[in-house]
Amino acid sequence: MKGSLGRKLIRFRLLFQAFFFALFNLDAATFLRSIQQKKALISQVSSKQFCIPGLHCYSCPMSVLSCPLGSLQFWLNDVNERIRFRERINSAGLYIIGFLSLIGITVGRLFCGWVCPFGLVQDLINKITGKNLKLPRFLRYFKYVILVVFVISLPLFISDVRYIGPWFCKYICPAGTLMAGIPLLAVDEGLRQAASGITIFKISILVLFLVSFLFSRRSFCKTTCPLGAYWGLFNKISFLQLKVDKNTCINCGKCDEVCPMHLKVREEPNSPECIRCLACLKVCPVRAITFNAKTDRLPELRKKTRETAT
Amino acid sequence: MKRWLRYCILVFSMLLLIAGLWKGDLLEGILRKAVNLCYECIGIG
Repeated sequence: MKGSLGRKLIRFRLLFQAFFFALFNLDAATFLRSIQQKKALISQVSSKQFCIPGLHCYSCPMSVLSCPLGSLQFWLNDVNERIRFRERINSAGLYIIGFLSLIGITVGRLFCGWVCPFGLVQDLINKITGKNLKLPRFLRYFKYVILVVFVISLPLFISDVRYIGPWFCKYICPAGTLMAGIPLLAVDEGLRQAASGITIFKISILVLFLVSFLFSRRSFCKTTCPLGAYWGLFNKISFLQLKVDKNTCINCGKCDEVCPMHLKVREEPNSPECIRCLACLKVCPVRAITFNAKTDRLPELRKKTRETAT
Repeated sequence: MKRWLRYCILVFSMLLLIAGLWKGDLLEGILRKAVNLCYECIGIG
């Protein structure tokens, strides 16, 4: 990614995202059948035992893989039940934790920027206005609360006669409402009749986020996404590291201007908030931002840029 | 230190992944939920 090939690839980030979106939603036939039969049908392929490296509901009619967060919550709730009834715990959850940790330690939040289907939705909606308002700093910590409370603690510790299981999916996840809830409610009359206050609540959350995407890029990733919160923990120690060569940097500030997450790239290139969209790497006129390997100092280019600036 | 931590987490993650795939029942643990409509996920129920 250090050379010009990497910089060229960054231009096609949206295409990468679209490609992965299509790859995760290969079973279009099921959705067509669902429309024809006017019945909520979802893909039944066996590949759904494996997780998507991003946020994408497995109740999306076309999805051929499983949402790692949904699977994790179901598993934690299953652990709770099995402990209560003194049954053997299914180790399938180790796969989910290992899968997410392996991605985190190798590339940090790179998949947020390049693969996540809900990230694509956010980027496309934001293209309408192109605005990126700065959100209050404290909101970035909200996603850690969501991760610890809704994704881990409640499914693991609360066991109710009224089955809830995936708390985050049920009360918050706008990706599930958009990709699964709305398409299925649109085709199935029975589901529409079963809709309740929770449906309206979840649709309200979705609308709130959709509007926020118009004014702030990746507002869901910044404030709420538990998957991003988990992967962000690895950003500082992952194998993939962004580096800023202070000797080459001319402090033009272009990297800070393009950063969708409002980071001071020169000061914290591997912040937990960085989704590694690599926009900073693309705009840097002196190529001071690179990956891991020693930065290729380009003094002549630096000199040229300074001359142009003056 | 950071380098060692990095490798330790990498190995541990791989072990978890392999243990989950080998000893865990993915069909029961994930697939069974994933092929049934999740009413909670879509905001019903």
